[in-house]
Amino acid sequence: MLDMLAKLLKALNAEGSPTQISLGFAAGLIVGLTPLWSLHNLLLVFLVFLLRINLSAFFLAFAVFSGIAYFADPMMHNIGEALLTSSALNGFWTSLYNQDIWRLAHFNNTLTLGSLVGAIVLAVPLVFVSNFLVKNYRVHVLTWVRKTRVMQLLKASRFYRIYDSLSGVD
Amino acid sequence: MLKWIRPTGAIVFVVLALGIVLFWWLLADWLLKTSIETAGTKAVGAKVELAAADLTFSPLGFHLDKLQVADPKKPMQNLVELDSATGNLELLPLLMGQVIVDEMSATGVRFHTERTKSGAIDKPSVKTPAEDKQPEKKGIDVDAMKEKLPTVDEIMAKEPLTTVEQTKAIQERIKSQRSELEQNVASIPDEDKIKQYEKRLKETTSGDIQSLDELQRREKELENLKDKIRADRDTLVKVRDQASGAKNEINNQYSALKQAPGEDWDRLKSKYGLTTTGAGNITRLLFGDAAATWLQRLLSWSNQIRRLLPSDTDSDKGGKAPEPKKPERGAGRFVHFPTANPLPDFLVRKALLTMELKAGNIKLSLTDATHQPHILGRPMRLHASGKNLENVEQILLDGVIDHINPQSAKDSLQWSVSGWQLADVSISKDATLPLTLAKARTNLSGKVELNGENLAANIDAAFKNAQWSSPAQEGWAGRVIKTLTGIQQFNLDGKIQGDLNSPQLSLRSDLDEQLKQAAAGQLKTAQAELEQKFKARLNEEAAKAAGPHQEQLAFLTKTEGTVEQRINQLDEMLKAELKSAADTKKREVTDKVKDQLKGLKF
Repeated sequence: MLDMLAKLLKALNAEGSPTQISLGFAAGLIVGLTPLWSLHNLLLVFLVFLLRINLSAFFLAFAVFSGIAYFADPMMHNIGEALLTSSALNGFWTSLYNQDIWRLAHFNNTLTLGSLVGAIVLAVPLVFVSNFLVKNYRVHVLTWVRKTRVMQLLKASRFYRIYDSLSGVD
Repeated sequence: MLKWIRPTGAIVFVVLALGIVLFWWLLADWLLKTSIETAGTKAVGAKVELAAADLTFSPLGFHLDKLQVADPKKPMQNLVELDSATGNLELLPLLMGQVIVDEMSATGVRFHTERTKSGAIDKPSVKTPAEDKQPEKKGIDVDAMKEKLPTVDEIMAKEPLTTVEQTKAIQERIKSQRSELEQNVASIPDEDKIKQYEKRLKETTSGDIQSLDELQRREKELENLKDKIRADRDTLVKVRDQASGAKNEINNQYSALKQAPGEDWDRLKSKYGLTTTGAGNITRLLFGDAAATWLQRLLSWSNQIRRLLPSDTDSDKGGKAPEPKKPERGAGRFVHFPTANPLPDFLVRKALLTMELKAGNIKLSLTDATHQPHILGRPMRLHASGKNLENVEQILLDGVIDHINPQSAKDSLQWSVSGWQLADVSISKDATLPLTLAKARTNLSGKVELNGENLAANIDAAFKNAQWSSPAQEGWAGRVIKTLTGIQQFNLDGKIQGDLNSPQLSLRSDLDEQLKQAAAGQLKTAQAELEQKFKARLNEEAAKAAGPHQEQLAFLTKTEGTVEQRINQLDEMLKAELKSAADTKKREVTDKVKDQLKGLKF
């Protein structure tokens, strides 16, 4: 966990694109909130590894949102139930149901659909918000943080040694 | 664009994915075993245990060893146990979240086997309302049919008897009559008073009347005496009538009392089943327990199957599909839509089971076994057959479990068993009539239909070459057994109807008629014995009133005679007085007229 956090801080403090970090958060949110063994998660994890999306942000978000999912599951199930039993959408779901690929994606599972829809709805603003926060962090906070007493103390800790070993340089 | 691609990431992903697949493959058997045990235990409400499970990949399928399903009601017993089961799974539906077993076979299927360890689970099982209500006890009041034949003493103590009541009534009436009558007898004129009347009458009427004044005086005295005599006569008449009425009353009561023992017997003999009508209960008495046990077993199996199937309580009133149950956390539920080939979440297309019964092996085939028949659109069907079994020539069974529409669920089962050689079958263990069917050959056929909660079943059994045995040799049971030994052939028809929770069982057999005929003589003898004893006791009871009745009768007759005699005396006295006075007057007038006529000439 400390490794992961250290890597995240390294990414935040490095010159990497804020979008890579934000996308890592968003992907982690989706995988964390939805049932793990799903076709969409397989695809998403593949994309996370294939594309230069920040893995630390992804795994951290995955861990955090998996915990949140435990409490959010009943609500996500209700969302999926409402969507799948909506008479207005019945024709649409029926057409998907008759295509194997969608069935393989478990779209007709209340929790899978509800949590995926919920996660996507949350992931889009998360990308923009985290993008904004990372940029502002680098401009306004990073310089100030480096000078604080807490940071000085932190530099003497085991965590900083891990962080330092990852970067090699400050 | 390429700056966004991380080539090593794809390799890492593939390695990671392969690692997961390898890990899953290594744990597949354990996961399968655990899944079956966990899901099965939850569904049954008692432990479901597997010795081993093996998941095969080519073809995709499974093999299970030694599956034991504990009975939630009897944890030290298995509901069902099987040696091994093998099945083929369809891959694509499995990836879609559906377990579709194309073909499955199981061997060594046994029922109600003993367990070495308890199969109870800590969490109490969810009971269906039907289980809570214990339906087998309702409507099958077999105990009521086994009323013990009472002794004469028990009848005398238990039953309100007219004889006893009337005996007491007569005794009490005699006492009150005696008291009333004695009080009135005390007020009637006694012998002395009669003699006084005679004396005064003589004085008044005897001697010559010298003058008209004397005549008038004597007439007045006579009139006064007459009034007194008449008053006493009225009292005597009243007492005589009272005695006469009392005699009639007591005689009527006594006549009724003499009829009472017969009436009491007529009323009680039908109640205590000693008429030939009572013999009609023998079928129920003999086969009631066995029928109730089978009914209980049938209902238990029905409940077990129905627990796994959607019921009308799960469904919307207007809809066809059952109301979805709240899924487990993290699982969700699969919603199904119309498709050309609808598949439920779990389906066994065809299963072949070899059941090992005591009599031998029976092959059972199941088709379309699923807990979601409304999705499949086809009912579950079962067929079982067994030939040349030990003591049974053939067993056939066909059933349809139709819960496509839970609101109009209809299950039916029909079976036939031919050439069943019964040996030492305990028919009744009840102490009233312990009975064993030592030997018989029987053919059975029957049908059960369950429409919603409405149960209708019938069973026809024909028994031949029947031989009976029983430790009961004496008394009523002994007589029934003796009668049964002469009956070698009989039919038995059972009907079960009514609500699933409280079905009514009725049993009919020509055994009743045969028993009626064969037992008529014996029953008559028994009836005569009891009648004799009973009537003797009642007559003894009635005799308690006979003595007082005779005494009272004698008393009344004597009183009546005495009073009648005195009335006659008084009547005679009244007549005599009137005659004597008239004659004197007439003589006087005649004499005077004669004297006057002597001086006249014509």
